[in-house]
Amino acid sequence: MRLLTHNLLMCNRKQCTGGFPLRIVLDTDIDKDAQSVEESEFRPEFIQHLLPKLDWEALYKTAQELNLSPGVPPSYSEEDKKDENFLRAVHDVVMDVHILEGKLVCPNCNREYPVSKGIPNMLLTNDEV
Amino acid sequence: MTISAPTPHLFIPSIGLAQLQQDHLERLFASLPPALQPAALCLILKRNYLFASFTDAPTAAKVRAILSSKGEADDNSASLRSVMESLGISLPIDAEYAELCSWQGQEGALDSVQDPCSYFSGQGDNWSAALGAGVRLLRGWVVQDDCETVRRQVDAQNWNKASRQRELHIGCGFHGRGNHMLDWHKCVKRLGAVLHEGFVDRIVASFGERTPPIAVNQATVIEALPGKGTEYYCLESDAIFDDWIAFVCVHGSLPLSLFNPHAGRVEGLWLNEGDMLTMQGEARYAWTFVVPAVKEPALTGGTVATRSRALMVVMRSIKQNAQGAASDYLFSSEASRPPSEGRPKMPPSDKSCRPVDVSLPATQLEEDHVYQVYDKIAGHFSHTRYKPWPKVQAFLEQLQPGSLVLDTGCGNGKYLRAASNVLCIGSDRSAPLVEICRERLGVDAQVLVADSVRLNFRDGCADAALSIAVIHHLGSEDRRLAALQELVRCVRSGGAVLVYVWAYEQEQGSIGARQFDSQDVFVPWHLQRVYESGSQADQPDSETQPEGSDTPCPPSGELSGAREHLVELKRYYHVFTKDELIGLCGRVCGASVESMYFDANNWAVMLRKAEAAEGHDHDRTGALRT
Repeated sequence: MRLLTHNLLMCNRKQCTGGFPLRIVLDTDIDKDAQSVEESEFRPEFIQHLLPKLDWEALYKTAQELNLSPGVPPSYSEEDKKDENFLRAVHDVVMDVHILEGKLVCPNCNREYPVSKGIPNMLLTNDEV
Repeated sequence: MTISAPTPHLFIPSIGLAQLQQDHLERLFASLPPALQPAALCLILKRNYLFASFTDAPTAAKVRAILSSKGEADDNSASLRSVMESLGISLPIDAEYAELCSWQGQEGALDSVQDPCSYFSGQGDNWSAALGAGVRLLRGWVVQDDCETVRRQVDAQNWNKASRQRELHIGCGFHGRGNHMLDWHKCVKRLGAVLHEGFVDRIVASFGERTPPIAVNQATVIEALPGKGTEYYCLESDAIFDDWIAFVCVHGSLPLSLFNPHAGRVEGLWLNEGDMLTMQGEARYAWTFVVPAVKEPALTGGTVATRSRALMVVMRSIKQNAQGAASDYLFSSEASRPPSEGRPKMPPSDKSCRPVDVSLPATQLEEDHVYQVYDKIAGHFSHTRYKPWPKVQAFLEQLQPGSLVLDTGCGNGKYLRAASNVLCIGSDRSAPLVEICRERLGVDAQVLVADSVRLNFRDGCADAALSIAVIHHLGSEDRRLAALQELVRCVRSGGAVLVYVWAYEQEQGSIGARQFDSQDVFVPWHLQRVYESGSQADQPDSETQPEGSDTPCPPSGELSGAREHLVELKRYYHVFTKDELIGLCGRVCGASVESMYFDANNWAVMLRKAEAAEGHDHDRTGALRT
């Protein structure tokens, strides 16, 4: 799961509101790679189009929590949108960082959603729908 | 599996990959005197036995005697004994003779490379026709960009250092001499890691309409350097490989020496970047190839070429059974060999769709007759769903570059990469199907397991959403409406939602047409037992692929067959009338129907989310959720 995908996900139990962003808890079992970086093609104009769709606050927070270096700045300006270095940094964070093993935890209700082999399982039980 | 008469092959118990690593096993056999070295080892994952093939039966007998001796080490066994000791293996080991009969008469490597006097460099048709039916040479078939992409991916991989020439196996590799011992160790696991979908599609497309369709699951990339060649010809058996093969030069130019030992013919071929040679039918097993070591090959037309580094991709399909049980298969009696004919075929598609008792609770109906069924048929289903529908693809392609698209109920993910300018995120209720997406598409597949009635995406996060053949599986009108409402909630203002559902009004006589007596029906899916466990989910079985393009219907084979090999599963569908779909969409808050059309027995509708913020309020009210 890319951090881009993570940026779109929220807790949607009927008992919960405001479950966003989900906190990433990596599975630190030594046999597994909980997180990986897979380089992908950098397309600046693609990232430019993505920018307005990202919840920046959530992205910044998540990058901080994962100790990504260099990560992304707390905010960006109009100028930044044309800056290739900035776009590259965003690309590296949203496109190339993958969460493979662990769980996503709702910041509001603490519901946990497992992530296995890079696939989050967001299925809710009948009483949560 | 084993027999008493001496054969050149030994079944050796007590040692195998279960407890030792491959290089240890290879070292062990390398410690035998040169005259007793095995010609090939067949190692099987997680097994505590292996098979070894020797040049002849007397050699195998000598090795068998060494392994079974308890006595003093002699010259022949001293070195072996010390290696065994270091690996913690104790003698004696009672090896048995094994039979290797699946490809007798045509198995094996042919040593001397035949040198064609010249390499054909002209246009293909006449030349390839002269090699026999099923042979095609297509010059410039693959465009430069695709070649370049493959070359970059290839160069990023770790090459197989064990082989003397540089070869990169993908999907499955081979042991020893003769490509008949399958090895899942030394290979890139995923085809997509090296060969992108567009490239593979291009190759497959060259074969045209074909039954069964081509399902590539193995490729070998050969690096051809000036003056260097691959070492021997190897005839490939129909016991293991499907009846087609493709050779594509993706970088530089290289000579190929093609040899048909039965006919005693040798042909030379000069391949340039983008050129492709394919063989199918009998020709596929009759011809074998090497890249000869020739430094300055003479081309037809009188010129002499200079070689430089070149890369050739060889693509094949390994048969399902060969993958499933290489050991039993390779070294077993004729009786257990999977017959090439008479395998279970799909029965005539049972188009009779039985009405459903809709008094069942919707969620129960879905659980028993949708989710559980898809989990079971995931592997099989995936093979029948590989071609994007043109109109859905066109919808994706007309979106702004950089658009985010949600594909809810993404199945095996065929739309996730259908358009290169948008980013698709898929979700499906079926975890096995979602895993197949991931297997097929790798890390690029952004997929999650989620319920389309209640999505976990935040409001307005996407530019567009797809719901292709999904909501007709939901068991009540409320739930179908809730699913539509969720799609609208998740796209931005002005965003589009494309929905496909089965139509009650079927165009009779068209592919997959059915007769519905009721709008709530069970539609049978005939699942081959080999898929039942779901464990072989991503292994193509070309024998059972239904014909034709992707239709929303289950396989429509025409051959009668052994029904006992098939499990019938009932999928629940609610088929829509046109008016009903319009009515349902009319109840969706904050969006309106922009267009509607009939496409291959489906009703398609495109909803557009209102530009005003007004629609937003409805998004999270949950009024439609129960």
